[in-house]
Amino acid sequence: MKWWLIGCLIIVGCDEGNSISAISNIKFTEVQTEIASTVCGADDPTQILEVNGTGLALFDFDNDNDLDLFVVNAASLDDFTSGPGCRLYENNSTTNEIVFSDVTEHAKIQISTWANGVAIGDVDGDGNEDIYITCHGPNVLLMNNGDGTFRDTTGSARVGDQGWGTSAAFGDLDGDGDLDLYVCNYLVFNPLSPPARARYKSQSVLGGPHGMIPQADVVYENLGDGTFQDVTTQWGFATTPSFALNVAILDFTGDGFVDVFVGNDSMSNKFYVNTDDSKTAFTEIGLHTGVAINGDGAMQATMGIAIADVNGNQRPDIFTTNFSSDTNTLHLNDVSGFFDDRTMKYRLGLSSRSMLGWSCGFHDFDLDGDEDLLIVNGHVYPEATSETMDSERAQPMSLFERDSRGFSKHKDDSSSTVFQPHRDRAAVFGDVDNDGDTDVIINQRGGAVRVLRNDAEHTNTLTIHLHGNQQNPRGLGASIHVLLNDGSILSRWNHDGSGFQSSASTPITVAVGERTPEQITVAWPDGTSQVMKIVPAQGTFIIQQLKPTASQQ
Amino acid sequence: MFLKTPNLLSCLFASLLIASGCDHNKPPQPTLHPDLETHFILISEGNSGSARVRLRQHMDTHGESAQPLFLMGLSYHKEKRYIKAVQWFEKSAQFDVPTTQYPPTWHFLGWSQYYLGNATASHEAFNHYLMLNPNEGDSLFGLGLLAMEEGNFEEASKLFQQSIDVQQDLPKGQAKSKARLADIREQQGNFSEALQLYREALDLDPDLYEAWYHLATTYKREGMEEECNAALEMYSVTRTRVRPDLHTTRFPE
Repeated sequence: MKWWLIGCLIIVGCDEGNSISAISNIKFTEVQTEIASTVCGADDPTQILEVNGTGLALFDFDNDNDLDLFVVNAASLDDFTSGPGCRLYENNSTTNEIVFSDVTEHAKIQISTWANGVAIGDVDGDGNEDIYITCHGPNVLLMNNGDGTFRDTTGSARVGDQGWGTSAAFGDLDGDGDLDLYVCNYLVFNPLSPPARARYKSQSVLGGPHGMIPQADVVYENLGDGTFQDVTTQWGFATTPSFALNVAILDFTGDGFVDVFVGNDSMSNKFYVNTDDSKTAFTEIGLHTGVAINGDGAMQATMGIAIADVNGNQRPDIFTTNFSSDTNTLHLNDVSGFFDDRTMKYRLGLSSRSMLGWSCGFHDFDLDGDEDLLIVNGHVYPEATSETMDSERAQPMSLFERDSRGFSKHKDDSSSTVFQPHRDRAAVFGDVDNDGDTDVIINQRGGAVRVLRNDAEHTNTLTIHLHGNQQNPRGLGASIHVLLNDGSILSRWNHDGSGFQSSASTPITVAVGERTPEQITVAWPDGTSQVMKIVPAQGTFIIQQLKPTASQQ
Repeated sequence: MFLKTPNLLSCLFASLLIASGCDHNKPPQPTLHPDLETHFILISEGNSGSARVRLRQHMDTHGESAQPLFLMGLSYHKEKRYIKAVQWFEKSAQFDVPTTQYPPTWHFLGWSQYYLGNATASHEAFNHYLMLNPNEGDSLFGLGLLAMEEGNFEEASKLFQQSIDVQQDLPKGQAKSKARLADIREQQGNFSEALQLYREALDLDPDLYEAWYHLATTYKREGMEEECNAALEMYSVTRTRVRPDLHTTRFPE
């Protein structure tokens, strides 16, 4: 009798817990654009090089106050150097229509080799965003001339690493004001001698990364004269090579200086923190702080990274996407310096087991004052079906709305194309149509690039533009804390990296609704901070970094 | 009708379950028909394909019944192909009267559904099994995990404690539940009780590497650096010894 009762209670509790949110304010509409489809090897990949797809970047390359789009493109295994090429699209949207116009030729961008990812940063501090492209082979740095064109300075800048670059990110690692560069490398792959096929869930699948040789990541110091130097060893980043797929550079520890989180495939993640006043001595402490592995003590296959203050303690938490038949992982950043796996508590575990996740991002899609979570998914194996691998090759995106109990899966509107399954890899988030909400652009592995316009019902939003120092005009690495009149604090981080092989150097949007912002605190990556007590209730707010005082210098 | 399963078979069954991510240390109750022992051994040795061929032959000859259908499901469960496993377990579960049913079906159905992320179906299967076998600690453990997924710590604590209570003769089973109970206490900020529970879990099962890891992080929170480092070392050593596959570089299975 007693057991019957317990059983009934559990079933009731379960039904309630699994209910899909009945009321949802998140509304996306897929819109048609002129963005060309991408290529990443064959439609049915046979080699590991073909599975990761290619990245995207949202940034304002022409300084006209809208977000332009850079689309990375790979090639085919038959001819590594003659792909369709990376494309640059100028944002010509109107209030009624999202329009991207291909300006690649005009911009003098000619990258047709096998490219993977992209990082965006103003390398020379001239106010124009530059582009760093990771490739299988030498990476490429394109300097923005400020006139709508770019020039390749890879050789003179000395950043043409030869590895299999995946993700990369700019950040002021040494606190000297300019943007240094972290490049993730994956593994040694020779298309002429590819690895043997492997087995997964009793199925024959393409080989790797098991048995392949991981490549070391590379860290470049910006010397401020248009050149960089490799400081990987000098600064403490020369740890055991791993299958690195992603990186995020921001101040995780709250000491005022940026740290580096690296997501690795099938190996422990790494977490590098600054350990002395020189700001150039990094130590890897992933295992000691709990962020290297999940709560079950297991290494995972980290692809995507998303950063947000999920538990409201003003510290950046880390969400990572992982392989199918595993769960995505939410590590909460505790004030004690630990990252606790709280995936289950926030109800992000079971729902991800059938998905293979890639890019992800926390954004307040419905402008209700809290950050929701969007993940794009797709399996690496063309053989993947529910029957064979408990996971389909093409998968819908996962959208979670934040609620009082954690996150609830967004109700899937089957009449919409938004939740149709795809083989997605990259996604970038930003207000493409300048209407105050966050839109999404998604790149699948070889196929159409999709633009999802956010049709959220508008409320009071504050769009914050950071103007950093001359060498880091976008203030990459800064944290923003908005104090509202109800005492709550909304924290955001302006950083390069995360997503997956992508970059979104976009203004910070904060929905305040009926509340009133009373104060904004910005902690800049050089360790200085400033407080603004006169804050508009809505609209655009530009925060200019103050010059450091004599004592701060 | 059912003969006692040889001890060897029990050991194989336990190791099969552990390898499948289901650390269940009891032989199936009631035991398998002796005609199916070969099939079971094939599955436990990783020869699931061969086992399935023989199981189909068995069912062609003898007709479908709960036990061979269960073993078909188990062969896929062993391969971590849970959708296929569920299909066969559900067929086995259609034999649901005492004279024809094979109760462990519902336990494994619960785990397969759990690994597919189907919380409601997992609940139902575990609860069904507990109606048939109220002292099954591993089903209680599974329900505890589902309660944690719902953020219902109170319910999860009760279930893990019940799991501990009914597994007095199964130290590994107790240890898993104690470690989860410790995790809840840690999340509730009760670090001293968490430490105690992690220690108790590791006394019961020193191979529970994730408990070493959590013990280390809890020590760290309590400012016990030396103990933290020692526990981290134990975590690394134990994980390498117990799960050498975790140190290979591949997509996790």
